[in-house]
Amino acid sequence: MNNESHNWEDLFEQLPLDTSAPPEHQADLRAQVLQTFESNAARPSTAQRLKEIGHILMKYKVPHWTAAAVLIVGFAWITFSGGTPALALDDVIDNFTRARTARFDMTVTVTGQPEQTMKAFYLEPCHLRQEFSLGIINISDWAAGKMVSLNTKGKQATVMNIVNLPGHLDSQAQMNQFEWTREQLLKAVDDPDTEIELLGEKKLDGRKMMGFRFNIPSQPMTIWADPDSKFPVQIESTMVGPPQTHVVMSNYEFNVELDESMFSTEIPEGFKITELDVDASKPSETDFLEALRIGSEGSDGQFPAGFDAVAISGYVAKVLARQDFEEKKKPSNSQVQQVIKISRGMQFAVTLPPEADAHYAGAKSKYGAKDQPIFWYKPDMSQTYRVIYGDLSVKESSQAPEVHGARRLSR
Amino acid sequence: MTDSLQTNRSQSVDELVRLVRTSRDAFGQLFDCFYPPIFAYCLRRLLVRAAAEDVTSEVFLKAATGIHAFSGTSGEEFRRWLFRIATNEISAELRNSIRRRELLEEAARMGTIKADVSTSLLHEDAVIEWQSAYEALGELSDREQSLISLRFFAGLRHHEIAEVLELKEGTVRVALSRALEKLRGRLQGSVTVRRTSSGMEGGDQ
Repeated sequence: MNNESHNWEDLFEQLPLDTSAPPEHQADLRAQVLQTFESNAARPSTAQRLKEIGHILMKYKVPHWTAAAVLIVGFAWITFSGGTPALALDDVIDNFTRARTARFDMTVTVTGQPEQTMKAFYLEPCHLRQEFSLGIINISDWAAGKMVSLNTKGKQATVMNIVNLPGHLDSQAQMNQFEWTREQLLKAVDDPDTEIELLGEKKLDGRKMMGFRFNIPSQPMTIWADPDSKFPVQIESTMVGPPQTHVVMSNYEFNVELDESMFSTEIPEGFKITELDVDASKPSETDFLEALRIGSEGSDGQFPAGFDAVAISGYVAKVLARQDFEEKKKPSNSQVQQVIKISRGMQFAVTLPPEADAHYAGAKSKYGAKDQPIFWYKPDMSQTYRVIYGDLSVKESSQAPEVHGARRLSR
Repeated sequence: MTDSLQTNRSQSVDELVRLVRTSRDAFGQLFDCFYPPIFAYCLRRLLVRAAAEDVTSEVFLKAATGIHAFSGTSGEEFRRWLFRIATNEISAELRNSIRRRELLEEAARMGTIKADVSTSLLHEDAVIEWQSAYEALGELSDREQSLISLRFFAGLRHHEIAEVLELKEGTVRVALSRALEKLRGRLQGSVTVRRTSSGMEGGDQ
């Protein structure tokens, strides 16, 4: 600190004021403030939890839907995306984000695959149940870090344990698809760059609805809401993919009575159980190398075209296609594990901070090119670069490689 | 306070902040933690205890009402958020020149700012009156007052001020420097005498 600054500090420190806190006012205000907190924040968790969900997913960047798709793929081989707002928009959003329970229909259409329909149930906090027509039931409880898929006809159960959740997350900071939809909605409304288009009125099941469209490039969303109840009635979203996935959630009923036992992740007797662990800790360079290894082995030695959602989903699809994966069937456990490892590893790359000066030059390279730098970055506090070559060896370098066509990764 | 104790305290405040949106108890504990610095900050700006109490009340009531809007996860973020609210509330209070005058007069009447202050900012052993200093401060723009107050009344560092005022750190440095220069210019006119132990040495400056 320079003398000038010291002089100013000296000046202001001489102000002859007793700034000690007045105990009576502090006590009175404390009571008043807590009363206000209670009346305003009786149920504040949803909106904020949704924001926290955003933090979790942003932390593992590969855009939200990809992170979730990694988990969802282990269930019913569907992908999913977010939700939308409406009319006196604030009221609708507020009602939607504060709902304790919900019952609704879901239709998922993935390009090239048959449409899937299901009945879904949400119970705050963090519980979601999906019932498919073929007797498949998926139940997730993110607070408990557990997702289960029950095949009631075949008496088979898949249990996914979410392990190594970052320590700073409390049980409310988990997500399920319903909450994720709400989070997408909140984010879109908060983002001044989001274009919101009024669609006007239309009738749904004889009821007049107001529509709003959120023009989010990667995931446009439309919400139809009842002007009387100020609740959403239908939410449509499209994940551009590939593959493109269109999700319609309709016939919403909010704050209905739901039996907690519907959301139990205990496996009923007589089911054959398969367990999988999904690592939610912060990915490392080792995870990244492993992802590149698995991916390149499964795709003729190619590395991903990039690290955006589209590139990674395409890369994963290519890896699975090489393994005789049949789209209509549930993937094998090893396939699921591979997808999880690839997505997890890629998250390392896309979560590097700008100061890491990370670059990717592997889009046109193939595994084995030992002299070809494909990725480089500066670890935290490091003066040197970690340079990954086409044979996945890693060397330290005081300078960033110069490779034509290298793309800088930025958060 | 040792580093480890400081770290432990920060950790526990961080934990409270992560619970604050849902826990009344956590909000209460954070209130206990941040009431004193926020009150002190308000008082240094407003000079009158009653006014500082009123504005401090507004700050915490707004925080309780708007806790949904707070998206941070650490004690530092919560602190900056409170200072942002406080800065806005104080600016609103002082924007009215009549109110500003009332506060100064009341402070003067109560003897709060009766004392003079010596400073070498202007020249060796210059002496100014606090009331004049506050009047000079009050003549600066809202943003300039906020920059100076956050730096010297709240003790925030440049990057923290940048967060509170949603400016770039470089902008804060430059703007603060200019604001202080402007304040110094205003203070020049307030210096009336230079005193030493042997008595008055100079006249009006």
